[in-house]
Amino acid sequence: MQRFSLRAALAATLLALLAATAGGQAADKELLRKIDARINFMGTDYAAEYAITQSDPGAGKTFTKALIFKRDRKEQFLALLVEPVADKGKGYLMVEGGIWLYDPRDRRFTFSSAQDAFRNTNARNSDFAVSKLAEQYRILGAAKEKLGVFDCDKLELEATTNDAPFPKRTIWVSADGTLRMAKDYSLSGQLLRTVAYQYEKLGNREVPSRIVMLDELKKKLVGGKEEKASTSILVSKQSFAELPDNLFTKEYLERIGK
Amino acid sequence: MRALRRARFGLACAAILAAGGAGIRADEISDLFTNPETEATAAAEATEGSPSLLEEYHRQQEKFSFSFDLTSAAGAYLGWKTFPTADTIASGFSHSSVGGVTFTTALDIRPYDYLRLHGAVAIVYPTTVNGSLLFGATIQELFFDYATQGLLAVRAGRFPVSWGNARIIGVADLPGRVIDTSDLSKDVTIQPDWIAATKPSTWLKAALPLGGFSVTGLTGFPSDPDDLSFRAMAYGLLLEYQHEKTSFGLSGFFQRSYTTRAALTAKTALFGCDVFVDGALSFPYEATPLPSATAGLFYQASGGPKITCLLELRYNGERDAVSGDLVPDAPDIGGLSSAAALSWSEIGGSPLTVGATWYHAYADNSGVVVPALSVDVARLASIRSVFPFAYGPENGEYRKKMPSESGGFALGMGIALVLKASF
Repeated sequence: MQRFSLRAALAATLLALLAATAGGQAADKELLRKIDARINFMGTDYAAEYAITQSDPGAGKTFTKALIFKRDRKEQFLALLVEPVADKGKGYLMVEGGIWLYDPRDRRFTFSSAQDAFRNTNARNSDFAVSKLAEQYRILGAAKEKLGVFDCDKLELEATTNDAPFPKRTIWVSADGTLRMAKDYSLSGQLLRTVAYQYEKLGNREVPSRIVMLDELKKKLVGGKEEKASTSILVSKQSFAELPDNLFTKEYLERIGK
Repeated sequence: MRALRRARFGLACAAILAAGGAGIRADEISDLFTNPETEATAAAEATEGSPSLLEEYHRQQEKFSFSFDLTSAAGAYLGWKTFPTADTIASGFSHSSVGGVTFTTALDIRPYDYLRLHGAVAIVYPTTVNGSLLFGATIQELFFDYATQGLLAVRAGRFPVSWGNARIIGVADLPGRVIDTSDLSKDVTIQPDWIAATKPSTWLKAALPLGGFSVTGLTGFPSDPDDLSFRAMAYGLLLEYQHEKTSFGLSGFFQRSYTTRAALTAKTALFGCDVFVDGALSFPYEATPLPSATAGLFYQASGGPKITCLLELRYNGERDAVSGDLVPDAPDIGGLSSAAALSWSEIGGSPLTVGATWYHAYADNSGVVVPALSVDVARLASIRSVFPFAYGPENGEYRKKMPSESGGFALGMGIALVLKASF
């Protein structure tokens, strides 16, 4: 009888532990879902103009202007390049989870990976796609940390799927679930880039107004001071207006190109 | 206010350093962690009634625009058209000049965002007609685009159509293989044209994308002006399906007097490369279907060095069962062959571009390698050079059918000064 009680107690403890772990995992997923919901535009379409300045240490600055159109509920986006003039008409089109790059010079579509760099900048194609933190990552650790005026949860994430943009990430999320900063790591733990976001109100929600990305690998001593390659994105002309269905098609890119 | 800002800055710096980001420049990102209510004024741009970004973009596109391109080149090929021996090294040496002027003017009319009219005319000098050097004018493109309120898109007129994934030795570009396209390319440059340019013809194309599926119907107008009947037209259908990084295509094409063909294509992305396999079956009249296939890799750097490369391997089984000859409209090289191409432009930020093409036929081990070098010497001027080198038996497949960038030389070099201007 005593042995049975001991076994029962052990089993109950194990079950309680399992339940607590499962409950913890469910809470983690819920938190990541909440962050995804703040990043994505599931209820509306989204359009914005991205002015992208790339600074490479010792090599000056380059400027790219792109029009971004998103329909996150269908995982569609179109990034249409309008500057520099040489790249005008080029476009990144995401449909059915695949990203196509259209070049009007040879009028061909090639695949582009979500992990690929966007136009020689520190931005990745995945930065424009639907955020899938809840699907692609699990939380390894959490801590409270203050970031400027924001009380943030600092979450250590590890990828659970191969299509995750980075194998490991650390993200800072403010109390309302808004992503404030992210550090992206390689599988070996090498810090690859740091991304910080600033937001503004549009309607009843916050949308990114400025994004800064620092390349943690591309560094150079310039005038005795270490400089990193950085990408600064100013987001303007944001809108939730409905977009036409034919915008997210290859035929649209062919029509507006040369 | 200044004190508040300073306090925020200090807090941000401390937070970043605490986050382990000792290498991060605080001044780059610290200002971003401020209260959104304090800087949330710019959003007023998206007020109701103002044009959307898309409408604004369509309005900004010129309703009526002209563009002009002028290309002028002069140069020569020097070398041997057959591989030299000790006896022929002097007598076999020859040269030929290359060059000319091409003036292209293009017109775009976009009255509405759903309608576009585009035309391009090229005037080329010299063009040889009955032994005389003349100016030649060709309509390169003349078509209109129309998009319905839904997803249907129509293009009609003279324009190039390319199906399949291969760029040099494809088998699945069914429209490009059967339609009678006139060779309009009077390219005066001698750089490697390793991405095969598709020749235009007169088409009516309708495409209907439905999520991951798309259906494209294609009709080619008769190439024989004496027979403009429906029976003389070309008909093609392409079904495509794409999911994530993988796409499939199934196509068929029929044109009287040409071999009817069907093709199945697949493409995916692996390690940043496009990986593809294209297969085709041709159906000669009252004969067994003949298979052909191309597999290949295509890589284009998305960042860093501007490198593009391509590798294709093809099996061309379109040989007549009785004669053993290739069927009349089969691709040029029979059996197993391969093609590779590489270009690296603006090396290290310099005006130097290097590249090479390589063709090889495995049946007789003949082939051609054409390294290329280009230097931009001024804003509109460049010097381009190629160094063709052919190998294999004299009557080998690639010795008989030299690629255009070799200039027909088995060993030698071509060099030209090219001036290009667009306005």
